[in-house]
Amino acid sequence: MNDLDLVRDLRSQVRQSEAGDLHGARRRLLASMTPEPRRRRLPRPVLRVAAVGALGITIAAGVTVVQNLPTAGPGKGTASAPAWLSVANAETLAKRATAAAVHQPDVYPRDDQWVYVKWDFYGSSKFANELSEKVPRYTTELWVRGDGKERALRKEGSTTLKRRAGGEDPRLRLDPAYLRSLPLEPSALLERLEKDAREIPVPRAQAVFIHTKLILEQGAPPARLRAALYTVLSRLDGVGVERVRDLLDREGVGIYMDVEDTRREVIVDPNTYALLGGRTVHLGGSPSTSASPNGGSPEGEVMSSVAQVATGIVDNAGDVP
Amino acid sequence: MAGLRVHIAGSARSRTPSWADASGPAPAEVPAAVVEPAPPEDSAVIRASLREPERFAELFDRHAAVLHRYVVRRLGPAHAEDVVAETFTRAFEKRHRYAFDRADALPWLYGITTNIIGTHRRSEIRGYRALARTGEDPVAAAFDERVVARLSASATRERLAAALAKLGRDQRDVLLLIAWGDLSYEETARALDVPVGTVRSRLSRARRKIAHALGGSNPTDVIEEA
Repeated sequence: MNDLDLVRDLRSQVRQSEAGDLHGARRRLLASMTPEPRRRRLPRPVLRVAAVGALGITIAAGVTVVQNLPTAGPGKGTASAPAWLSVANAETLAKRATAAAVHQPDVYPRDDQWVYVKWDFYGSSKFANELSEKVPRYTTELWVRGDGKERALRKEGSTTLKRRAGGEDPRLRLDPAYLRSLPLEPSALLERLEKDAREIPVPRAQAVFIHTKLILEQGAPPARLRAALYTVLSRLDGVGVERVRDLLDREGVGIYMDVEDTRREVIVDPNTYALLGGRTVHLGGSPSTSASPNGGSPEGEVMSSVAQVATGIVDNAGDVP
Repeated sequence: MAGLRVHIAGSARSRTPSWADASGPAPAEVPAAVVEPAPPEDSAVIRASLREPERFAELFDRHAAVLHRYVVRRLGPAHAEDVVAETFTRAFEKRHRYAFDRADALPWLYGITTNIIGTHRRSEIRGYRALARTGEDPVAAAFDERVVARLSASATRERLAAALAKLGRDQRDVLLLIAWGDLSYEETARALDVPVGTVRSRLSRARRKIAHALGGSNPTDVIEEA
């Protein structure tokens, strides 16, 4: 063994590095890719909206909104021009959310802790079916164990928890252990979500939208993953944004996807980029005699609306943050 | 969210369990045409990342583990992840200056890593000296406690560590890029942005010092390796 071989042998016992040794480094790299908010001059139409908004003049939100629907139920379709800069598209919103998330730590519960999510739900009686609740609006609290092995649910007015091992459908993963397994890099995340949602029997983009919406609403992902999920949504075909008010009348940006006569929407706080909730809205266009179950229903009718009220991490199911 | 379940429950129930995802045709059944094409070269990935920044993460996934182990060997595990993160962050920032005619980016990444390691050289030298003094290697043991049981005291190893501690930074960088990084002379030259001749001379000097420290007084014992 010559001298160079002896050097090669020194510390050769150091084990191979693994993915777990590099999670933090990868995350830092991805965070460093976040572009600074652009300061270049905005395209003229957007600039006009921004300027008018800054003057506090109420305008019809039409420039940045692809289509605004009048809504007849909780969660109004159109908000007055807000003070914040208009969001031209979902990609812009996702980029801002990513930039804002860079300095926020990822906080996940321990395996024996629980993620707590509380939401208000409204379901229009016009679209009710045998699975619908008897009352159109109610509050629900959900606890999901950190390791994903158990869920607990408490409906409004109840004092008891309904516990289910593994959740209602153990294959429909929304738990922290699942969220932690998702990549933060948007292309890889999209690929993974396409795989995870592939059994949903609808076109691929729609399946990813549905799966992502559920993760956002019930999984309460940390800011970085949440921003990555917004980015994934922004890259799906047919996605647009509109200004809306959610079930609690909070102003937000709705990232939507239209499929046939239904619009599905994820509503994002434009200041903090937290999730406000989501809606499904009837777009109309189906005659009352058509095969669609929604045929004849009024255009713009809110079919269902969800407003996230609180999220947090607690030690026991039944605890609230 | 009852309303959501109306839309989703049917489809969710029809899902197959996740373990079924792993199932598929046995390798023998996979036709040759299905074999995946070779992944793009590093240079192509870097070029693509100019338009799609997130593509740069592919480079991380290819090379980070190798670089991490190299840094662990030089500095120990405490700084390794930081150094790797800093390496790729710097590389990302200056990716537009990459020499795109070079398909393999690993030497370039090793060069950045080496510069960052240089800012930790006191810590690196302390590690070699501790090994030389006690016969116990804090670096290997800190990364994997099972290593302790596998290592036996060795006078050669202790002398070698002492010699590494005494080497100048330039010579140590060349020696370890070749011995631990498995780079060729040309790749080392590219990593350090110096001529190949400089790599040869630095390596030669480093090896003479090592050989001397190990008790080999005959300089001809040092055999040059390509």
